[in-house]
Amino acid sequence: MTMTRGLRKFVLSAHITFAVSWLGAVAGFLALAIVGVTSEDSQIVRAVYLAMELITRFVIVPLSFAPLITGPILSLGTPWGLFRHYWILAKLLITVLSTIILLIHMQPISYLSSEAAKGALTSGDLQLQIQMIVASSAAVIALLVANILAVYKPKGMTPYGWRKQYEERTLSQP
Amino acid sequence: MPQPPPSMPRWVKVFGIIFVALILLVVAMHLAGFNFGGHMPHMP
Repeated sequence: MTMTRGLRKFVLSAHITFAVSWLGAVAGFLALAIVGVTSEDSQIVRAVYLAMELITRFVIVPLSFAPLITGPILSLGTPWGLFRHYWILAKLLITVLSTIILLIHMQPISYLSSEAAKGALTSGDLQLQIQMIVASSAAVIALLVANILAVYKPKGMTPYGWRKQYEERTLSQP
Repeated sequence: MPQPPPSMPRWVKVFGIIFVALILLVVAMHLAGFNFGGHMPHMP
């Protein structure tokens, strides 16, 4: 099924907005995570981890699911397809894995936030605080790669895409 | 008969190698004690 031009532009706009916003939100999270480890002001550190949980829960998690919906709709509604090109598969893999890893990290983020709210963050939490920096740095790189793939669209057709292309050419020939 | 598909592009192989290496790194860190849950002594 191919989408109309207007619908395709609308879904594409939504997809780009969600994907780029997700990257920006994670970059903001990374900045907060770095401040959480480097700041010597306990009030700032407490505020940082409270903000990190709110940003994750209400911005990053919704933004991680949105491209998982708009991406496949866009792929399946255009000749690109979802499984025909390696770059689309790679993007899908990055998006799915990033979302899974984000959800896994929800528990430690909530823990740091609750400890910050109680003013009970200790040096024993440092490993977890550093883990937030490492995880969000990896996420920024992964999402950057996904966006670069979407812009450059490197060549490479999967065996499935190759077969479908052959079938369509055969059908279109009289 | 369709022609055989072209070989996998180099960038896909590089991407796959990096991806597998990162997965192995995460698994190795997990096994070494750097759990995703981290150090959460007060968690119920």
